[in-house]
Amino acid sequence: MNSTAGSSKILVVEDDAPIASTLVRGLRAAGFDVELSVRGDHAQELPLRNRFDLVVLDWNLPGLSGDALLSHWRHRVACPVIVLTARVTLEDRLRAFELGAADYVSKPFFLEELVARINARLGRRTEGVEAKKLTFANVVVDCDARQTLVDGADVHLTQHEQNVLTVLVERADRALTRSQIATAALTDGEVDERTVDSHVARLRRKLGPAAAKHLQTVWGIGYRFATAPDAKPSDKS
Amino acid sequence: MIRALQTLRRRFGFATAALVLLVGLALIFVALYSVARLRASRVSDFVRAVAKNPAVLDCSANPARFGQQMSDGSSLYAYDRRTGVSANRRAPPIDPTQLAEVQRGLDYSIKTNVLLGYGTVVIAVDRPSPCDVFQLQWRATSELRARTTLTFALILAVAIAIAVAGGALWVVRPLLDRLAHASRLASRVGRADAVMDTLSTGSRSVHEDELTEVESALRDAHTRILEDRAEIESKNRALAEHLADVAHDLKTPLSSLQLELEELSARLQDADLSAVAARALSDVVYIDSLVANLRVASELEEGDADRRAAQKIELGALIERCVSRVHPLARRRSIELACARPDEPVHVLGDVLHIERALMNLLQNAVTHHDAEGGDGHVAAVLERDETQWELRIVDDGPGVPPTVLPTVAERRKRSRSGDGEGLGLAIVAAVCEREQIELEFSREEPRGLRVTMRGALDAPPPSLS
Repeated sequence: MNSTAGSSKILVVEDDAPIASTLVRGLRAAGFDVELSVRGDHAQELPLRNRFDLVVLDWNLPGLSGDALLSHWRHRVACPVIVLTARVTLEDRLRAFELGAADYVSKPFFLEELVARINARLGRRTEGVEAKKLTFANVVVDCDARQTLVDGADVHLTQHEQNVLTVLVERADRALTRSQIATAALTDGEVDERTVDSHVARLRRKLGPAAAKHLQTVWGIGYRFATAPDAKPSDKS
Repeated sequence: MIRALQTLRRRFGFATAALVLLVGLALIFVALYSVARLRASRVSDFVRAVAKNPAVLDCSANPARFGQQMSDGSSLYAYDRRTGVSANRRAPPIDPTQLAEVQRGLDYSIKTNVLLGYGTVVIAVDRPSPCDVFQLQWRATSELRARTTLTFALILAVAIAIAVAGGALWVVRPLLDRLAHASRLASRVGRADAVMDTLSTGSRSVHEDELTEVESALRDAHTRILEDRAEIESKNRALAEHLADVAHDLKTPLSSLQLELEELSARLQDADLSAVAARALSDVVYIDSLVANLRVASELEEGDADRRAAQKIELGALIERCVSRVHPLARRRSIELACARPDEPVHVLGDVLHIERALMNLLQNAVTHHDAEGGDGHVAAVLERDETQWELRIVDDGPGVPPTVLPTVAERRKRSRSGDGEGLGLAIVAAVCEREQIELEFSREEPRGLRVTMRGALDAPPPSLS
């Protein structure tokens, strides 16, 4: 399981003992610092007194319900709240968003899915200007300067190669169709999906084997720039 | 007697009287018309004869020989105005009534029998006696009689037809109005918004007849249907709520089970045991999917979703969410699952819960029915859009579906999860697509696999739900 956890601190509010214990173990195994609360009324003040990067909140809780907690935290707590819900109606889902939930995960769920969503939320908060300059393997891609360095040396990519790499890097970990890449990276006269294959092949050659692993072919779609290429393919979407 | 007809007795009476009157008038008209025609014709003939026939002019010269008996049965003779006696012995006696009329000063007198087809004209002329009155007797020719009879019959027939049609229409009009009203009531039976009104009869009294009973029966049926419908809807609502409660109650233990099996399968060192845990995990996913599908099927069949207003959905985010939910399952089956979406949002109008369920079913089917052994399977979801339309393709390189089964692949049939098909899942996909006006197509992916294509209309891009 891949995570951007670092020392991210997560509050889990869940009353069901087996779920709570598995969640805590799983999230800790994924590298998060986890605090558990099994009652709504006990959890009410926790995010106000302590710093949490994210809250995982069950909807049905003893003491104080999930929606009451969300109402209480609204405008007081800055960290995102992911709601775990066994409820299936649209109204419940809408209510969670109205009360400020950042996301929801329907029960039953894979821990893997929850971790992916937590990572997405935490990662999203740190995205910024730095994303324009990306380092992977022995490669530095400077999107603004339109320059790519391998082991510190400029590899002199052609304009189209640089465009293709920039398009992929700017949408890291997203699969892009050849058509999408061609439309975004190539000039009108060269919008040809097969041309994209040629550019990616040349990019892989120029960047070297270590960096080439990041430029993944995605079956049925096209290509993806993978920030963690050693993870199994299905770890990325 | 049928009571509905009894209510029309007065109208029948009026209509019959009107019919008799009209026919009588028609007969009179015909008779007058025929007489007028015969008169006009014979007077004209006679005058022409009197004026032009040299024999007429010769009467004064030889009154005893004056007279003509024509081949068509007509005759013309001269008489003395005062005595009414002809100098010619062969002359028939003059009609005394007509003679009296000309003696009183009339220029001529005509007598006609239309039905028997003969007539007499007596005309006074300014000549010396005994040639100062002429009498023409004629018999209508067979051609004239036939024409007169035909005219008579035609006018009579038309008059009767008009009278009967008009009378019938007038008589049955109230019946027709009420039948039309009953028909309108019948077409409204069972509709929740129907107004089962009473036909406005103005000042006329409403009779208790068969039609009143029909209308009353329709109103009763309408009321009963609405009551039954309300009862069925109430039961269905209770069932749906029960199903939702069951789904909800199941989800917590399923969550616990799924998380524990996920943890167990990750920790087990023994490959066989790990495979057992993985299969159990798949079963949990299957049960959850089954419960969700049953719930959506119940909503679709009972029309619950129709009561829910369409929401604006960002399809790109929704497909990403669905893919992320199915990812762990795909990873355990060593299947690469990926999705691509446009940079721009893909806003559509629809029922987000149903569309999400349809997407989940398609992705789960592609993953769970894939025959990838040893990690070489692929499933890809590609969402694209243009200015007005969106298209989602979900392709896999699994075993696919035989061409003969493709046209009916989304039909609901009895299948177990261990079977070769998709059972309820794809039937729900098809039902959701039909309801949401999404075009759905299943085709073979070459060299192997299944391609599912969905197409629909874009909505304007406001904030999204997903």
